[in-house]
Amino acid sequence: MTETLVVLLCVAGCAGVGVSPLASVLDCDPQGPRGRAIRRAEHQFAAAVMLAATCGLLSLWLYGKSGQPWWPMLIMLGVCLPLVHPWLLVRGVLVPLGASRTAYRVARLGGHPWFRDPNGGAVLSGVLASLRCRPSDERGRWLRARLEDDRIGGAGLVALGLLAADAGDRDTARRVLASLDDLDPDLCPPLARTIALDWWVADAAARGAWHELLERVADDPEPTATTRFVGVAAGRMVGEGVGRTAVLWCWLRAPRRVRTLGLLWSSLRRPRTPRRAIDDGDLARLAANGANEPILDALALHAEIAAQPTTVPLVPAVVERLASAWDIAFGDFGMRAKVRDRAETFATVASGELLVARLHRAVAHDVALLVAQCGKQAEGLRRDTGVLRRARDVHFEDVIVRIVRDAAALGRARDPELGPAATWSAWVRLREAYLGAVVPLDAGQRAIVYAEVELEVRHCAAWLWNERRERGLAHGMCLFLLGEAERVRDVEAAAYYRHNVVVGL
Amino acid sequence: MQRHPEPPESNAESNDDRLQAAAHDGEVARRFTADPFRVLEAPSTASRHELDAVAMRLLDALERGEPGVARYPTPLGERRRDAGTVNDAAHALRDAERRIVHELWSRLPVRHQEIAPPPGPAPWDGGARALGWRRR
Repeated sequence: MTETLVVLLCVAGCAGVGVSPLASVLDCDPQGPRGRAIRRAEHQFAAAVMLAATCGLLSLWLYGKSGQPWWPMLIMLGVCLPLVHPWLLVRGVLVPLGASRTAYRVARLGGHPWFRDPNGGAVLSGVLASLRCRPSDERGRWLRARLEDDRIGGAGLVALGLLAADAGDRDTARRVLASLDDLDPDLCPPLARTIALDWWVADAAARGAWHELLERVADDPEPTATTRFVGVAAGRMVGEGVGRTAVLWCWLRAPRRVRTLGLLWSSLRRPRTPRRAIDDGDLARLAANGANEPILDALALHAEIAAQPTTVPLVPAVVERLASAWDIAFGDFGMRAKVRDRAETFATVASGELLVARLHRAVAHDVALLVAQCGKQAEGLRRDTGVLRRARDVHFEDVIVRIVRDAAALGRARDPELGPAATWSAWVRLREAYLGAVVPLDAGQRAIVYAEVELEVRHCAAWLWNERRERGLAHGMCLFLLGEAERVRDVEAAAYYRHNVVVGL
Repeated sequence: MQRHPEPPESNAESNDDRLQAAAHDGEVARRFTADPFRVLEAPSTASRHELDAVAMRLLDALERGEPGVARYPTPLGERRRDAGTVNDAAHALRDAERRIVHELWSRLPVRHQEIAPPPGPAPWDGGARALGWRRR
């Protein structure tokens, strides 16, 4: 009788947990994503307590009947546990079996680890199962359609990215997975972020994009043992000062050791620092320093950089050195006089100065390409005169056309038939193009590019917020626009987006 | 000079085939490897008549498949040429304004030895599969 009373008290307790909020309303908005996620966690906890209490009660009853205390309890727990914690069943059985539709339906019951995005987590479960069986476009369409059943969160974006990768569109997959950083953490289950990083690391390693991989893993606060090992191996591959012991230790701590043996061996064989493309003897012969004419200095530096593979990121200092050398060369009266003489000899229509100006433009075009090759590091370019100034202008002329085209594509993606997932894919494409384009530009040029994209992105965010109730996606866009508005000092727009961001999700 | 003979195939040297054409270089590298003076192996002081003669001689040699004619030195090492690149180079140098600019670009000494950048780290073949991901 006492045991029955205890069990009934447990049932009453878990019902109380389910009804009353655990989190203070002062800490978070009960209607916000964090409040809803906490609520779901509370419900699952209450259901688990209820299950344990019910099983205990029934066990006691069966014990009174048959005298067997354990087996009824175990059987009931085995049957009921997946109902409370479906991820166990999905991860342990349905994903390995490749039962994508069943995995989706079971995971849709909710629970850990998808409290922050239940529908996206269910679709992601289905996608993970789908990757275990033969590719099927029809199954991919079905899973993509399930994303539209509810608001898209972090797990939904990961599912969208993996579906794109499975359909062969790996560029879109990379962009969509990288866009997780734009989403509010309250909308992104940590497991979804881990899965995204795992895929990203595997993809980058298979492409040989070791520098990108290294940067991405370094940014992640909680890498898994596998990503940590691949990250350390990548550091070794690009010639960073990573010791062999560190690589070996990370490999030992990571799973799939037999399968990753090849990477371990490759990284251990790499020397610590890469050899130089042109040794000192060649540099001297190419008159990189101290040539008797400034143009020979500039040409030698130009050739030295041209000999480097275009896939390796450039250091801004190298580009600045080249630009300085060309500035000195263009200021050389001897070179200009020679060009004038040649123009007179050939009796050209264009004057010698015009020909020098053409050479200047060609050099600026090359420097613009090299600036783009610097990637994010191009922000470190400090000089803004001569060839480098011209290179910024050439780069600006090139990118503005592309950005306008991408912004128009985002406008077309604002289509009720396409859905928010397609809109988000178009948005991340535009965002990537924008961020790549504006790095070497000055504040004035950046403001012009920003103005080209701002209106379209604002409309898109408003459409997602008002029409599709996709507040998480709209919030991510507004956050980006706020950052850019502050950067280009557009006070009015910054105030508008600050209000939108503060309103919340 | 307007002939466009097909590049020799059967009797080309195997070493020439392994050489990279300037068209495969990056845009910045092509300033040096596709420079018309380099392609024709002519000095920047050559007259227009001399340049045409050089181009004609190269086209004939390429048509006959003379050994070694398909390669030319550049500041970034040797590259491979064919009738198309020779014709393009000759055409570019007929324009006096373009020629003067090319004269500036062609001032670096050439080298026969290939500039080999340090071997970059190879991609991890099968990496995606090893980490449990499928590549389609």
